[in-house]
Amino acid sequence: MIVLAGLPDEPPIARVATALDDLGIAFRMIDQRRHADLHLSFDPAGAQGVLQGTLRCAGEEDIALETVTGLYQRLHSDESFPELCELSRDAPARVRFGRFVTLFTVFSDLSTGRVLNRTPGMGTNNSKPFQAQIIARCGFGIPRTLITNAPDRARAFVQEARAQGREVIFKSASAVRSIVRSVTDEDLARLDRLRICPVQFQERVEGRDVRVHVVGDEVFATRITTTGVDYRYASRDEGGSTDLEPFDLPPEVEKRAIALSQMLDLPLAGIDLRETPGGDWVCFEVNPSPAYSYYEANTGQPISTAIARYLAV
Amino acid sequence: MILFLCSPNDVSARWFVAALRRHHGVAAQIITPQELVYAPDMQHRLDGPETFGSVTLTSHGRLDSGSIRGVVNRLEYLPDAHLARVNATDRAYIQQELLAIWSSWISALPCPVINRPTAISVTGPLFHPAIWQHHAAAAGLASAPMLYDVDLPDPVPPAPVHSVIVCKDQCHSTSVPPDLFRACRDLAYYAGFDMLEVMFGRGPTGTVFSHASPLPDLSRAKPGLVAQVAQIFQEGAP
Repeated sequence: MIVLAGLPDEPPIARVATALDDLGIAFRMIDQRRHADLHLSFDPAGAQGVLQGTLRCAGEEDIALETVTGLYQRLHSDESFPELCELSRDAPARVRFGRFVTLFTVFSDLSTGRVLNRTPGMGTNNSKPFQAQIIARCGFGIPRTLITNAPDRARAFVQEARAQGREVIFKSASAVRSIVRSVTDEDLARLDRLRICPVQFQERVEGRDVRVHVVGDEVFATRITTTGVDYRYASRDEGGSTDLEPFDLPPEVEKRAIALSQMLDLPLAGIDLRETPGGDWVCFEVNPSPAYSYYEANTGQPISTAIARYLAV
Repeated sequence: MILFLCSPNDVSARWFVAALRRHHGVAAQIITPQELVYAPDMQHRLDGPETFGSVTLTSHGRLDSGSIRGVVNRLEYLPDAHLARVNATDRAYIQQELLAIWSSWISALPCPVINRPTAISVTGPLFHPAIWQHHAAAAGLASAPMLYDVDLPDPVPPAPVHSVIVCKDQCHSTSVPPDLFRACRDLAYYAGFDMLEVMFGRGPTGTVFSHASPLPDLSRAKPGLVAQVAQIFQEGAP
C-alpha cells in the first residue's frame, strides 16, 4: 500500500498522485484538510518489534499501518489551516490536530516501508553548519564560513575576503528561512548587534547554480541562471529573472550527490550546488522536503515519476 | 581539558567530576550552557573539511577546539534569559539560531564527545516515547503493551525500579540482571547514544522496559563507570 499524506492539491503531492495514476499504481491519499475525520492508533512495539496499528479516514477503508510499503508525506502545521488558527492553542480540535501530526510522524519514522523522508534525516537541515560538516565529508566544497558573536572577528573576516576580491554574505544558521544578503558597509556599522546572537557569514562563491534532486539512486540536475544573489527571490527585484534548464552532471558529482543523500538519510533530497569557474562543485545545503514541482514544471524533468517509482518498489 | 557540559543544577555531574579527579586524576571542568551562550567571544569556522571553534568564557578563559581533549555532553537546553526584552518572533528565531550554532560547534569538536548533539537537539537524538518503546522492543527488551491513539492520552510506562547505565560497550548496574545488558547496549546503539540510562519497571509478566535517558543520574554511577570514562579520555578513545 502506498500512502500520500498532506494537501492533495499542493503541487509536489498532486504531481506524485498523477504519476502514480499514470503508472497504474494504486495509492491512498490522506488529506490533511479532513483532519477531523482522520484517526490513528498503534502499538509501537507491535509484533516482534514491527509497529502495528490503524489509520482511518471516515467513510473509507482502514489502512493497516504494517501494510504501508511506501509513504510520501508533506504534512503541514496547524498554522496552514485557517479554521484552526481561529481557535485558541489549547482548543480540543487544535490539540487533536497536533497529536495526529506527532503520531503520524512517529509512524513514518518507524514504518518498515519506503518513506520520503524520515525525521532524523529531515532534521539535519535544522543546523546548516552541522549539515555542512556532513556535506564536506562527502567530498563537496562548502563556502568558507565564520559564525561569531564577536564584531571584530566578523569585520576581519569580511575585510580579508574583500581584500581578495570576494563578497561576504550572511544567512540564518537554522532552518528558519532567510533571504541571503551581501554584507554592506551599513551592516559593518551595526556589528555590535552580534552580541545577542552569533551570525553566520560566508564568502560568496562565484559560479553557476545547479539544483539537484536525488530520488533513491536517480539524479535530476537543473541549471539555474539568475540575476539575483538568491535565485528563489530574484523575481522580486525589478527586472530580476530566473531561468531553469536540465543539466547533465559530471558522473563523479552525480555519485557524490547520491552518497550525500544516503549519508543524510534523505532518499528524496534537493541539493543546492554551484559550479565554480575553476570547475569545483560547492554545496550550500540540502533541502529535506524539496518543492521539486517548481523545477519539474519549468524543465519537464520527470521527478514526480521517479518518486512514484521509488515508492512502488 | 575535559569538559562536562551540564546545567548549573546538575549535582550528579558535579559528583562525577569530583570522582574522576579524586580516583583517576582526571581534571574535568564543569561548563554550563549559560557560560557558552553568554560568552563574550565565540567562533565556529568551516573551511572545506577543516573546522575550528573557540569560545572565551568568563570563568575559564579561552578554550579552542584543539585544546579540548574530551567532552561529556549533558546539555538539556540553551538559556534565553538575555532575550527577555526581545519580541516573540525574534526570540523564537534567535533560539533556533543558538541551537543550530551550538549543536554544530560541539559536534565539530575533534576530541571524543560522549553524546554528540544532533542538528535538532543539543542533547543528542530526540525521540518520542513511542520510538523508545519501539527501539527497546527491537533490541529485545520486554515492554508493557502500549497503545498510542490520537483520541486518548498517551500511555504511561511502568514506574522505573531498576536502571542500568550504558557507556559505549559496557553496562553498569547492580540491580539489572546481566542477561539484559546486551539488549541495553543494542538499544543505546540503535538510539545513537554513547551514554544512556535504561530504566525498567514491573509489568504484568515481570521486568519490562520503562524509559531511557541520555542524562543518567551519575550519582548512581559505580566505580566501574567512573574508571571507564577516565580511560576514554586518558586514551582519547573515539
